[in-house]
Amino acid sequence: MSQATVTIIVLTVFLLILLFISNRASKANIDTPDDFFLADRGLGTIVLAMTTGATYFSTWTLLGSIGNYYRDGVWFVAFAAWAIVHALFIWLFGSRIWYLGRKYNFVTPGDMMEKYYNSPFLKLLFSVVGMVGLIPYMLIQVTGGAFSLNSLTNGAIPYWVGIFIMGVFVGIIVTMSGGRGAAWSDTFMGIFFGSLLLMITGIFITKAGGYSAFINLKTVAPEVLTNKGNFWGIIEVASGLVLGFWIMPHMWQKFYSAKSPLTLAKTSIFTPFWNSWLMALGALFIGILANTPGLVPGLTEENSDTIIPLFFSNWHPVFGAIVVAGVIAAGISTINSAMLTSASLLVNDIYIRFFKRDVSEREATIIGKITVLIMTLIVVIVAFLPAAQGFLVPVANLGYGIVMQLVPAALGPLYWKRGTVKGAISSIIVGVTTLITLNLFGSPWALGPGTTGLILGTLTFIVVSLLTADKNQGFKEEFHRELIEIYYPEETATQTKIDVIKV
Amino acid sequence: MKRKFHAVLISIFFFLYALTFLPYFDILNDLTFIGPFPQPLAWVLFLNLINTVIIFIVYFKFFKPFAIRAEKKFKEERRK
Repeated sequence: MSQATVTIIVLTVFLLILLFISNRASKANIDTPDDFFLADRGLGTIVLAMTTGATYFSTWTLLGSIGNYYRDGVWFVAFAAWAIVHALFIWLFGSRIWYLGRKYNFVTPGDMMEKYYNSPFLKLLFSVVGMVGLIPYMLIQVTGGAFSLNSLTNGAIPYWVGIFIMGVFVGIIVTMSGGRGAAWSDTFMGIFFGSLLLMITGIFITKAGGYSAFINLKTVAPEVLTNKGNFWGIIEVASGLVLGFWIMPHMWQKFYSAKSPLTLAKTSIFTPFWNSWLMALGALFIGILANTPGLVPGLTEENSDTIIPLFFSNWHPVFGAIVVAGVIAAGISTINSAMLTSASLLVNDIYIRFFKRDVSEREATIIGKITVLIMTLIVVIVAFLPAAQGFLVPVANLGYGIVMQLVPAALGPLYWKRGTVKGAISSIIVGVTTLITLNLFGSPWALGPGTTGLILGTLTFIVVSLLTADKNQGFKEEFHRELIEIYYPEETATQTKIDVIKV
Repeated sequence: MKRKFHAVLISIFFFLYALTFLPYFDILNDLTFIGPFPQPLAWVLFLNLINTVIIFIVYFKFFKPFAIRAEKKFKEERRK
């Protein structure tokens, strides 16, 4: 049986399993935006942990990051370090997002901004920036996935079939099963590609010499065993990918979806193992050890983004087919959440908020489903336009950098009560403008555009906030007092005692 | 007191995270091996290990108690 036939059979089985899981998940669905977008805020520990990781890790993890490790060696180990920070971010940001989301019934990040800053404009701005960061990123995941499918099968699966699988198929199952279906199927896909990565890592270590695998590279590729420097280069990549774990709208909504804070807490202790010790380090071992002579046939710098498929090219076709399914799994598990969140931003933050406020929950859900279908159609159309391989690629690559500019404004409701609406709006404008300007005209200093935007945006947020005041300062004080009360109850008790003594 | 301990713990975490960048400045970046790993990789793995332990401390000392409090609070509010 040829490689193409085996791949098609394996992919068909894989997609049928996905369809079955989504269908099962949809049985519990009810027609409310909470249920459609946030799985009725009912995700348990395993599903939440898996969907959070699977959503964050895209095809890039199984292809691009391994290529990075092959070319740049231990320079790219920052990936393993920032993936540990994700776990702490679940505590520092995720728990607050969950708490406030549950208390005020927020569906999107923009909901929180509007409530806290009392500003519909800020909600709009937050959503537009979120969509500008997320939608091209999602489109490129679809087109990139279709290209990967085409090249991994040596053209046996044409580009349009790839678009059908990554775009149309995903769009339909998201419409059918919503956030719950996305989370359940993410769990399956996460376990699938996580196990695959673990197995491949084991094979690479064994074949490269086991305990002496790295030592063997000392004479043949010493350059990958030491860090080549370029600190500012890695900082630009790291800042986007570390902060993106909580500020990207589709990740933010994962925190709203948790069944309970304990679910979130347990997810936080699972995250270092899943995000760093398995995914980031698995990619590291495979990428660096691929430098072992003869381990990966036909490997060059140019094709180093396809190390895993190259490695299995001489194996039984079923291995290559499973690898293709693993790559597709990593892609779909990112696309489905990104698609759902993009739809929620459009429907909840723009259409319902500004154009049609008097819709029932059922109508809102139907509008959400229609939006997902329309977005699917747009994805398909754009996928065949030159833009998909043209200007959208750099825009999509900026995805994390763009959304990172929302961080200072988000710190207002989460941490800094002195932050004002004018400070928040100006920080986003300054951050995004800086990012665009430096990308268009080049940066005069070593710091990258995203990080420069974030620093200037943060400074703007602080300065403008200190110079201005909000009319709803009383509400904000109360908002933060309640946060302190739940996070540090002993402090509130002490303060109450002091107040009583003063009286 | 608890808030101070929290601040110290989080600061240690980020300090250790910052230390993972030392090899980018050619510190702890020699082509020598610590066990099976090259020095810069061993350094980052070592710090990651400590930070993983800190995540567990944060879980037991802060996250879990917060989760129990928050859950209790929402239950009470629902009852009311």
